[in-house]
Amino acid sequence: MSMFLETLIGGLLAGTMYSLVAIGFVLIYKASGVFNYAQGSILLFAALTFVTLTENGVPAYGAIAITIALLIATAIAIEKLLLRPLTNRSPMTLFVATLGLSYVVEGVAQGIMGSQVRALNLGIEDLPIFLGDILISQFDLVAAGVALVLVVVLSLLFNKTRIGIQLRGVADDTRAALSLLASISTASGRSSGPLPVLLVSLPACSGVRGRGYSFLCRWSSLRRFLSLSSAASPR
Amino acid sequence: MAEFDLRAIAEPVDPIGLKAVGLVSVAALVLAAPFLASEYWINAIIVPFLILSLSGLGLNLVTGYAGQLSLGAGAFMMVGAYATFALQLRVPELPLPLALIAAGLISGVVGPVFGLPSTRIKGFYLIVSTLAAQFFFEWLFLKFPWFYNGNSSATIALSRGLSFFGLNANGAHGRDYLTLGIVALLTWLSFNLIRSQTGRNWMAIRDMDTAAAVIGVPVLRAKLQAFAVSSFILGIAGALWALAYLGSASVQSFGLHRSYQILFIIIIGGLGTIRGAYLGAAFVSLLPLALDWLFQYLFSGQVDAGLLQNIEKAIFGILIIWFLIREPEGLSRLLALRRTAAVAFFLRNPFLHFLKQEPEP
Repeated sequence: MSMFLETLIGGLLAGTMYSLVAIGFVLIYKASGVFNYAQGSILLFAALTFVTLTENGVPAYGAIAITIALLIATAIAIEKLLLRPLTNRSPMTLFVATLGLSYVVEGVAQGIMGSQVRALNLGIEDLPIFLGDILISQFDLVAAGVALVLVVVLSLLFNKTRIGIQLRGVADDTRAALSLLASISTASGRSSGPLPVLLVSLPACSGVRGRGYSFLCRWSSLRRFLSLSSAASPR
Repeated sequence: MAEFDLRAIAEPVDPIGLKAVGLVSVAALVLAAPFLASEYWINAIIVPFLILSLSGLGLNLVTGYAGQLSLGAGAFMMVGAYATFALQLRVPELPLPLALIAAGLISGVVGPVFGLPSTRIKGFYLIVSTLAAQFFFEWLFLKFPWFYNGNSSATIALSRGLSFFGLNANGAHGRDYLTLGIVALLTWLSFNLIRSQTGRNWMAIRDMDTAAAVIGVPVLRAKLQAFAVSSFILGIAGALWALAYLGSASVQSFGLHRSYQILFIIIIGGLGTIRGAYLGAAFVSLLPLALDWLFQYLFSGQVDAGLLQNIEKAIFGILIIWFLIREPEGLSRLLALRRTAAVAFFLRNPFLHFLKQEPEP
């Protein structure tokens, strides 16, 4: 019985991290109508940046801050160079464009920062907690806690704030939103979403440490889960 | 002069049958190519190029002509390859060409099954259904050893090689001509198909399915037809890919990356054109070589292979995006524009004016 409970709790906690990735998809789709196929690649980009920074001696908090800044810059660039020229094109075109984007992001990220397997240390101790004889990973608890906070914040954002409601309007009916809003491009620009992507990336990648999973291994199983492309293989 | 279609005046400029001459010279070049090129070129470039063109053609029928975006190209190729292998292994009496056709038919039955959801759903959800084909077949062909005959490395390869009717197609030239013959035949068939009622039905559905239904196009049947014909061609292409190009193949040879590659071929080449598949495939097969040469030239071979692969990936992505934004009709449209410009140049040049035929009254 304790074995069952342990597996159940562990599975639920791990599932929370997957759900975060899924929320990233949903957020972008809900806020812009774009089915963002590059989500997984941006995840990889965020994690790689963080790892590269910490490996080069940047403290964890600094690395997180720089990663966030870089992701925001990337998101703005994506909006300017990709989404804006494709405004009002069919969803299919947008989808294929994000597929192309995932190639660019993966190619650039791995080209600059290397594609070898690395370990990610977030500085959270992974001491198991015992509830009776049930073992719970402290690390998973932290990740799940972060996930919970994020879900609450995001649902507040989309239900209570002006920008959230605007974004939903744009996604529901771009034309109607265009006639009501002065700044649709701002709205869709914000929706290309540095925030969700990043917030989703860090905890998801953080699940790696202390479990014997190599970082990229975990990443590829994530990608599998998201039905994204498997790693480049020989012709 | 503002609205003035150059193509209209370009038509009479063909006094000596330039088009026929062009076709004949292309055909001659294609037939002679194996003797002009080295074995490396045939094995590593011409044969895969031809097979990728064929796959692009197959996907173009369903995505470019019938407007149903599919990410299952790799899966249908996989079905064709494994079916050919099984037929050759278990029904040895069946000659290779018949086995290929049978494999195409099997794949052509499987395609509409995964295309069935297209009768109810569109767009993203259809992508998911074709993705399901991709994952399902990868799982199926790995899970049951029957499909790869219990081979320890889970790969498939023809035991008797590529020989049929006493002909041996195992050498580079043999494989080239085998592929070329099949590609030419299927291209001719598709060309006729898309100009028939069937093809026009597909295009009507692509452009607006409600309107197509209103004017009496049997939408559901036509969509499934498109999936069937497309996966028939993809199945044969897959069989060729495994047996004529790779020699021995596994599930990984037809992974999701293959589906993407073929989708990219038709986007770069031009959706809804036959020649787009060829242009796109040529582009996809030659770009890595060109990059390789460029880096050899620039850095004299000091670039790491992994880095090169990543650069290639990024360039592909950028090109996809560029084409989607600037030229959604792809290379075939760019080529048509160049041709029109060339014709206009000849028309404007007084010395070449004799080429211009006066239209018959």
